Amino acid sequence: MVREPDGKICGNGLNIDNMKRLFTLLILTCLISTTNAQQVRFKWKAKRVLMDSTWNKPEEPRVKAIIDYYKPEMDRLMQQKVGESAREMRSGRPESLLSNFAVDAILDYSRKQTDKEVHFSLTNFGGIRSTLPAGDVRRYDIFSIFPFENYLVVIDLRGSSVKKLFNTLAKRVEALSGNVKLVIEGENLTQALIDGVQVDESKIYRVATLDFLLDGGDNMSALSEALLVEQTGVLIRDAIFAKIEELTAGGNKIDYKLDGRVLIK
Amino acid sequence: MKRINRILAVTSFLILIFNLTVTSAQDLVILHTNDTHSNIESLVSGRNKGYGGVQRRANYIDSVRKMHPDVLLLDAGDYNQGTPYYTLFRGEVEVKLNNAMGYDVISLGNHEFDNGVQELAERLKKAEYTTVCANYNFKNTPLEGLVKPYTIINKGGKKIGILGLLLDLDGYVNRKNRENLIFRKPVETANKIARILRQREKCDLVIALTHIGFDADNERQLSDQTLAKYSKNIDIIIGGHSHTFLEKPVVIKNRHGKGVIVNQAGTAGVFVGRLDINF
Repeated sequence: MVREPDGKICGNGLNIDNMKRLFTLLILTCLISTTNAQQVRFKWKAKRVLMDSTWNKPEEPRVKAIIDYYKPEMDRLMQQKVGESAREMRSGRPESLLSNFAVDAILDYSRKQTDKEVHFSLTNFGGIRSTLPAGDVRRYDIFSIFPFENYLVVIDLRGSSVKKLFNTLAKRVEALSGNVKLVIEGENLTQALIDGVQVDESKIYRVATLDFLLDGGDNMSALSEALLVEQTGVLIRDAIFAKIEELTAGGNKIDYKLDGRVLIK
Repeated sequence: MKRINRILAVTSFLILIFNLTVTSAQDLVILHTNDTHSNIESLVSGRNKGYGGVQRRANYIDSVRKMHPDVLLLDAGDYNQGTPYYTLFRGEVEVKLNNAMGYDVISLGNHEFDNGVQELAERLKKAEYTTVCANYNFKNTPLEGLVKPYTIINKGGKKIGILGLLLDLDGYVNRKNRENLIFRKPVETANKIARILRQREKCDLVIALTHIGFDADNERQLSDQTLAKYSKNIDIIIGGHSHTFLEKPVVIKNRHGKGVIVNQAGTAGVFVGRLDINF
């Protein structure tokens, strides 16, 4: 063993320090080889790769050819501006700018469609698929938010069924028009008002909603108790287009507010 | 002692080299997506604004294929419905793009059924990938023969068994769009098939490609996490439906105490999931 004054080890003879270092290296390499193995039968590593502009080039030609074929037709039919929004509007439980706007637009539309009163409206969050962009709003955006071929219906529902419906909504809330007020504690309903009044079990309510939800969609079984179903023949998307058209014609931007219609405590 | 020292050094060096080789030359690269929902173009709004787009995905996949000969490309369903591409062209663009990207296997999602079983069958006739779903009986429906319970893919000298699972469509798909489809319990079905894949088919890797959700929507539904827990012989669960953005996979112990890798890549093609496997 030769140790030079600066502590550097030279030569390759027996050296305790040297051995220690090698041991450490050995253990370290063993550790590296076993991390990730966990209890899985093979070695693996995982990552997720964000599809951002890093991957813009080079363009894979087969996919490029398909997109180049379809996009002009898509743009011709879908790029038209239909209105303008004051800000980006997202959708989410228990209430949000976009869902409040949509469900209130449905109520509005159905009231214009029918001679009889419509008491409130209900739509599902699962049917609002995207975010309304800030600024220019194209047909493309509205189709992306409401892609489903779901039709607007107005149903007659007994007060008792409405109560049952609201109790279901306490477990998993859906979008309700602003004249409904629900207070939910845990999964229990502690308050349910329509236009500030308690639900009357003996009264018949007229509810604007989607045909999809009548058919068992999103498991709202209370809706299957409908006494009467009035088909409007109008897609929910077209009711939204009508609202945007009305706003645009009046020189208004698409905008909305949160109002605490559903409170979860 | 000199000799011990040398042996130690050599062993250490060898282990290091071994590690370097296995980590740089994986046997299999799995790329996976789910719930891309007809997002051909990048997103223009929302929290993932500016991300996604099929051209980018194809470019990325291409770049991985140039580096690795054995890439397995999977999708866990709901590639249909969500933009006007689906509304206008009724799903034909999505199938063409999946073919062009060279998807190997895709499981059925609930939104594949949106325009009915007949239209789905017509589209799948043009698919160059295998569509899997084990827990629905498609006998005497237009989908008979077009959807397989499982498939086996050979890559890099390894056998990879892939089975498909779909949630109970009741509550998700209009009754008229799922006529005569018979739902079977997913866990029992999955375990039965995984056993066939492992024992009879001698697969080196068994993957469940599922569209049941990382978390359950309601108490009636199963989740990938529950499936993993009650599973046997499944190594990896690649899932969809719940649009869950997992930063990394979770590992859940199965009935045999073995780890099952569970992963999901969010929605809209914002991310591509990647798993590098060394057998």
